[in-house]
Amino acid sequence: MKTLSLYRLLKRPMLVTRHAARSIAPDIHDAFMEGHREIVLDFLHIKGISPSFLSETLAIIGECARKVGGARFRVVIKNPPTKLSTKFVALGRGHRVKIRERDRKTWIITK
Amino acid sequence: MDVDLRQCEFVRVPAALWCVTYLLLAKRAGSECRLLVPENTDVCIYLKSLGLFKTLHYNGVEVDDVGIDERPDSQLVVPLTRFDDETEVDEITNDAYESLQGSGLGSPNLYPFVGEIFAELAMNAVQHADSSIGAYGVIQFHSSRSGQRFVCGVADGGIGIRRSLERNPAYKEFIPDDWTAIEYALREQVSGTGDAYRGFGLFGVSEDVRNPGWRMIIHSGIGSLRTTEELEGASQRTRLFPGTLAYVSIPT
Repeated sequence: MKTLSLYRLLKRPMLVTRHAARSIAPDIHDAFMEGHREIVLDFLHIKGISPSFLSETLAIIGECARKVGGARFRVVIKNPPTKLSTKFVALGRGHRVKIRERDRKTWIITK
Repeated sequence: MDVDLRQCEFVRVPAALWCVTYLLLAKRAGSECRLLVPENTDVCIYLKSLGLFKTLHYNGVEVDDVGIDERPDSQLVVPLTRFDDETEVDEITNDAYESLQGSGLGSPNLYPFVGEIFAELAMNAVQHADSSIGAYGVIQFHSSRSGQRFVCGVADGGIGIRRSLERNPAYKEFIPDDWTAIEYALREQVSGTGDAYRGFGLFGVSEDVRNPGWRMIIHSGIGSLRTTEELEGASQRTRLFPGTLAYVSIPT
């Protein structure tokens, strides 16, 4: 299991653009290359995320998983800045992943 | 071309965005352009503080604002600001959030929503509009007898939602007009890009607007749509807006 702190990587409270998500692609890539099949994205200190940011992040995770030869993965979102709303669930459907809220501080994304 | 605001006693954010879009497009097309400012001094001061006059001056539009002072407006979170790419949207959104945190305006638990909504509207403009004048946005806190609200407005002078969606051949036959295009654009996974992973931005905004008291207006070409929790998807034919204007109002 590898934990990536989004605030440490991006140094801003609002994660809203696809461009911002792309900038952490190398870190996600490295985590998969190190053999981690479960990645924790820790949103501590992040105050807002947009569907665009999460969509691009899921696309990157999917690309990285395929590169290492596995279509299946599990991502834990720790300390999400918002509750799991219908727009994020719909976004998961679009990416063919399942997003569920385990508790107020944890979302689980599986494929 | 003149835009005449002389009799206006109140100018809302969408109207200010309308002024800047029309005048900058006309100027770019080679017209001599002029804004006739409101006779009401307070309205003039508001528009100057909003940044409307400065933006028009900068782009060669004549504005007679002699003797009108600019007044610091503590309720203006993001004055009229141009942006052209995602990096600028990112910066404006994060600056807006920092500014809200120190502002004491409204309910702090809404600040992330304000940023997210603004960012999604702004991202749509920079990614899909192909606007020759860029895109402009405003975030403002508004207090009146009917309550307090955050308002986010974004406008561009681009190709409009219908032409943007038509880039995706899958939609071409389903969107005969601008108002139908707006309705389509609010649906899950509808995007002119044809990318299966796109099309969640406006859909997400329209989901958020289902919260009590939230309102959204989208005006693109000759179509407009007004969404509230009670009135869902009321799209209609309307007067031309030469691009796309999106406005969300959030009660606090």
